[in-house]
Amino acid sequence: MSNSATSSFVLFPLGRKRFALPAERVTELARMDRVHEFPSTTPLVNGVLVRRGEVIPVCDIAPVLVGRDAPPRKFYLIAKRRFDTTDEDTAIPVTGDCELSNSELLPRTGDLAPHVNGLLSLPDEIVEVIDLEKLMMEDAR
Amino acid sequence: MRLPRYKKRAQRASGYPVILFTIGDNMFAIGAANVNEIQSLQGLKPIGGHPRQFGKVRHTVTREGHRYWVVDGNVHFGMMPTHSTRVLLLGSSPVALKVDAIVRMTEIARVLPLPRAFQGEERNWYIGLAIVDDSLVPVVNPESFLSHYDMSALEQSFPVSVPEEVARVTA
Repeated sequence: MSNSATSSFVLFPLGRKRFALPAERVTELARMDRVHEFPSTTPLVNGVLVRRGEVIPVCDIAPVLVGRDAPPRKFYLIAKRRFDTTDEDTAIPVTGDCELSNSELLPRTGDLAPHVNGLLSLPDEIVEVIDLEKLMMEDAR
Repeated sequence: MRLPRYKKRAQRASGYPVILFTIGDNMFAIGAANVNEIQSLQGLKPIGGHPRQFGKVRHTVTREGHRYWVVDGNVHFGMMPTHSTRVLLLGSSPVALKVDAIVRMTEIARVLPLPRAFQGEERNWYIGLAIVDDSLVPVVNPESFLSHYDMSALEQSFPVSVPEEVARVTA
C-alpha cells in the first residue's frame, strides 16, 4: 500500500550531508571535466561544460546548502532545470557517489528553507529534497 | 592596424570571422565585421572628470576626425585591472574597447546560445559562445559596451573641442 506513495530520488552528497533531487529530473552522473569560465554575474553559475557538443552550465549549489567549506567536488550530477516551458541541463558539482532511493516524499516541516520541497525519511538520516528552480531564484535575489 | 577589406568577403564563407582578444586570463571573440581598426594605446586622451562618473570610460581616441569613447574592458566585465596594450575601434558606434592583447583572427563554425542559467549582465554582454580549438569563448555583443543613454551623457559632459571639430570637417 505504501508503495503507491513512493517516488524515485537521486541522493547526492555535499560534504557530510546528503540531499535529493527527483530522479526524473536527473539525467546522468558525470566525472569532473574542464569548466570553461568567463565573466558573468549570475550567482552560483561558475562556468560551462561542453559535453557531446552541448554547452551545460555549472551551478555550484554547495555554498547555499552546506556553506563555503564544502570539500572538493568529485562528480557532476546533470539535472534538468525548468525555464518557462523548456528544460535545460545543469551540471551540479557533488562531493561523492550518488544513490537511487525509492522513498515517500514527506511534507515540509518546521523552519525549512523555501528551496526544500519535502523530506525523505531514510534509516539513518533525514534528507532534504531540493527544488533547483527555487534555490537558484532565492540566490539570485 | 587597419583591418583588410577581405573581412566582408570572408563572412560569406561557411565560418563566421572573429577577432580573438584577451583581457586578463579570459579570451573573448568579437565579430571581425564589428571592428574597424586595432591600434596601440598611443593617442588615448584622458577625459578628466571624476573617475567614477563614467566608470568604464576614462579615455577617448580620435581617428580620422571621429572621436571614440574608450571602454575599459576590465571595468565593463567586472574584472581586476590588467595590462592593456590595444584598443579595438568598433564600426557601428563611436566606441573603442581597451583590451590586453589580440590573439588572432579566426573563423568559428557557429555561435552557440548562452545557456538560460545565465541570467545576469552577461545576457547583454555576449551574443553567445563559440568553440575555438579546445576552448569555449564568449562572443561579445558590440552594442553592450555603451548604451545610447551613456553616449548622450558623455557627449553632453564632454562636447567635441574646436580643434577636433575642425579635424572632423576637414577629414
